[in-house]
Amino acid sequence: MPSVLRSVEHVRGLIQSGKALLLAGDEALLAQLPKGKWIGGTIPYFISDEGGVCTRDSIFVTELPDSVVEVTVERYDEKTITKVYKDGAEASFSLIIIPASSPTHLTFALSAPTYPAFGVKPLVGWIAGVHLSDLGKAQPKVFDGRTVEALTNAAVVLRAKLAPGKLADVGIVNIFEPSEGETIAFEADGFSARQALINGEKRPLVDWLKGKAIDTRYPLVASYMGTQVNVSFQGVDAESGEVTFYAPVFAGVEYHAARPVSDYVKEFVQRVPDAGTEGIAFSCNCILNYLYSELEGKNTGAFTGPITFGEVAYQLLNQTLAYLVIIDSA
Amino acid sequence: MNLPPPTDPLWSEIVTGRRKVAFEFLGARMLVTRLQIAAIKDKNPAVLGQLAGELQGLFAANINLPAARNDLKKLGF
Repeated sequence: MPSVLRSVEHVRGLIQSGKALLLAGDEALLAQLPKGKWIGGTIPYFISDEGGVCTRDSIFVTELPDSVVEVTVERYDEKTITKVYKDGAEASFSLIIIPASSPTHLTFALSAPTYPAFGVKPLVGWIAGVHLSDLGKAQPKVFDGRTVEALTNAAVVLRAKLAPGKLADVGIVNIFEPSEGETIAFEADGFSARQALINGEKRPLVDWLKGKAIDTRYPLVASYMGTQVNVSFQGVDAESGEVTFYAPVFAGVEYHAARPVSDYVKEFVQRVPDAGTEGIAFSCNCILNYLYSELEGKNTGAFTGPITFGEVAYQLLNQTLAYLVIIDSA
Repeated sequence: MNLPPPTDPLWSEIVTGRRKVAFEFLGARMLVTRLQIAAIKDKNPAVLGQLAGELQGLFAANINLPAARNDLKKLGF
């Protein structure tokens, strides 16, 4: 299934021919597109067939496979996002894009696992962002292809139904493993913390990070029944003692500092699923992996897609590759 | 494949962690993690029943997914 960088003209033709598309690119390019069956989000970073690239001149196009027989688009905000799983219960899968740091993003990140029908059908997607030189100047946006509106606070969701005999499944590739050091726990859910329970002892988190010389380019890692789920560090304010994260930490979950990774691509290749990469309909990878692992110009095989400010594989993830695969029914 | 009903003790045993399962299905891994935290926070039997029902519902909706079927085989179905 085509997942490639294309010109505005090319994408315009695809939309006009009735193709259902998931798009990623610069706001100025997405705004030029006609109405149609598509959703989009802003970001100028991608992993293309030729490796990591930053461009404002092309749109990354994920064309839904031929096995998709019906598509609808829906829109949510921070009040209605609670219905995002339940509304998708009749779809074969749903693709979602939310602008970074919007109320909808923050609400979804904190509460999604508690929403009705969580996990009942695949939900995959990404958090829209901006060029890093535009941080604080430009706002991440999503586009609803039905109206071609650019939205700063909404989740756009593409619902897809598959032909009989086909199913969708969600996967992640996370190269980070927990270190053997202390367990870290938190007393409340949230995007920031000053205190943490380090091996059960309540301590200032900043002191622990400094004392252990923790490299905050690497995330905190928690095991979700054997799946490693990351929470990335956004900032450490030594003066105020506040540590901020790109995804929420949750009370009741035990975290560890991640083991350092020296070669992302090598580790990544080793973790590509045994079943291979056939049937991948969509994938996205994190901007922090792109930056810290210097993925520009480097190839991650069949996993092409936008480089994002957060990944969704049922729930919000950090520093992880998320993907959707179409398979034959069991 | 017939799934046991939400009231079957199997589901609540997974939610309370009394029964350990190495799930293959990613959705199950994520949901069970959340359900187990919720079960620790609120030990009311009615809440446990609701959480067990959520887990059964997840597998009922994904009964044709190979990863979910492999998990159900591990559970004896």
